[in-house]
Order: sequence, then structure tokens, then C-alpha cells
Amino acid sequence: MNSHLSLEEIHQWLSGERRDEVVEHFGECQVCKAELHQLQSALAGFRSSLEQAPVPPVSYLPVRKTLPRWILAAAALSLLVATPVYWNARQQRAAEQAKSDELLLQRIDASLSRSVPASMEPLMQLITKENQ
Amino acid sequence: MEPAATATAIMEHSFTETRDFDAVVHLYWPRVFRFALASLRDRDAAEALTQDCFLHAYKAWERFRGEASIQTWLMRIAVNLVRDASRNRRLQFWKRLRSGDSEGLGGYVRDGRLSPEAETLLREQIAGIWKATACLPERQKSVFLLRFADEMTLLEIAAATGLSENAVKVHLYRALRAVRAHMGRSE
Repeated sequence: MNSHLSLEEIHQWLSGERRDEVVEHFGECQVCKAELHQLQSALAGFRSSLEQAPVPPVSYLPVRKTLPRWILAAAALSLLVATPVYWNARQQRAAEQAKSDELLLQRIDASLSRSVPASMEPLMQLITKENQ
Repeated sequence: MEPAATATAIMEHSFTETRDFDAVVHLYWPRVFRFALASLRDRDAAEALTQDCFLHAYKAWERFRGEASIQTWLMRIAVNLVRDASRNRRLQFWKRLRSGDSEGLGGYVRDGRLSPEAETLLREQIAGIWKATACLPERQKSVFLLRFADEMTLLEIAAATGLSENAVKVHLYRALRAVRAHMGRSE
């Protein structure tokens, strides 16, 4: 073979295609052999430089970083609805408690304001009637 | 089991005999990550894409029939994810921003057998390849990386990309032509 290999033939070789005449040519032609060697060295260097890149540790299992938006929206809505209901119930309970406390206080007050014990009250009423 | 032994076991056994998904992940994780890194030029995006790839694979593992090799199947998922990611305009912006930052992605191992001049030339050529791959159209880039970073055959690349073997040859030829043009002018 007199002429050198075409670009396409060298590329075919690099792509993995092996034709007998090209193999033969590389055996005879030092120019083409040197060109191929230079290309192969550069491509091997490229692969090697990529292999030097640090690889992060393996982690492929799904990790849910944030809750889905619809869950967050539903939670916010529930909070909006529940807050007034809870507030009303609390106010109602407080009012009932205040009423109950007032009644208790009235009873205590009445008990304290007696001049005689409750068991003596009928006798005192009789004495009052006799005096009249 | 040693990693090398696990790798051999997975490669030697057929799909029906290999059900250990964790072993598959550990074996192919670096390969998928490097493909994603070279495609996207962004470590965080590449890591996220690798996770996505194995998550997709995990979900489809039961349905995987073994028509293709595990590597081809995984790379097909990765190629599709890279294509989707590249359509993302925001990522395109970062990619453009980082296209000149390719030297930080990988490392270079000195070859003690080379003269200082040859070493410098080789470094420049490697930098040229990095820059050229950043400018390649998506399909050409995927085909080029699968061939020269992953050392896949044309048939495997065809299976991973969904292209015909002839289409793979055409994309590879165009990619190589562009890369060679950049190799001479890496600066």
C-alpha cells in the first residue's frame, strides 16, 4: 500500500473495526502507526483522567427529603379549621367553669352569713315567732 | 466476596442467576457516575443522575428480562437520563459556565516513560479531548464517551443508545473528527 490511511480508516480502527488491509498497513507504514499510537495514547489518557475523578459513595435508595405538598396543604387547612373550633370550645368551657365557681361562691357566702348553725335555724324561728 | 470476584461472578453468570442488585450497584456505580460526569460536567448533577439511574434500575429490576447485558441496560437508562438532563435549560447554563473547567473533573497520571515534551503534548491533547467533548452534540458525545470512556463495542453502544449500528458509526466518526480537530489546539 503506497498512500497513507484515510481519516475514516483510522477512525474505523479506533471504533473497533479490524480490516486485514489496515492491519497490514500499520505493519508497514510507520507514519500511520505513529499517528494511530498518538491518538490511542491521547484517548487512553482521557479515559485515565476520567478514572481519576473521585466517585461518591453508593446511595440509590429513595430518601424523601420533604413531605409532599398536598400533605402540607391538608395539614395547614386542618389547622385553619380546627383552631376556631378549639377556641370556641375552650371559651365555652371557661364560661361554664366561671358560672359554676360563682354558684359555689354564693353558697359559701350564704353559709358564712348565717348567725346560727343551720341545725339551730328552726328553733330560732320559733323564738322569733313567740317574741312577736 | 472481594469486589473483583463479585464483578467476575456477575459478568460470568446469566441474568437469571444474578439477582443480587446490591452487587450490581457496587460494580457499576463508578462507571455510571463517570459517564454522567463526563456528559454533564457537574459533580452534583452527575451524582444525582447516578442515583436516579440506579433508582430506575431498582424499580425495573424485577421486569429486567436479560435481553441485554446489565451494563448495556444500565447505560441505556443513564443515556436517557443524560438526554433529559441536558434538555433542562438551567443545566445547560451551568454546563456552558463550566465547559472550561474540565481539568478539575479528572486527574492526570504522569507517564514516567515519556519525555517532558511528549508529556506536555499528551496533557494538551487530553485537555483538547475534554474541551471537544463539551462542544459535541448530545448523541455524538454519548457515543464517544461510551466508546472511549466505557470501552463499549459498537453493538453495545447501539443497544445502549437505541441507534442502529450504522448510526453509531456515523456519530462516532463525526465525534472523532471534532475531537481530533481540538486535540491540535487545546488552548
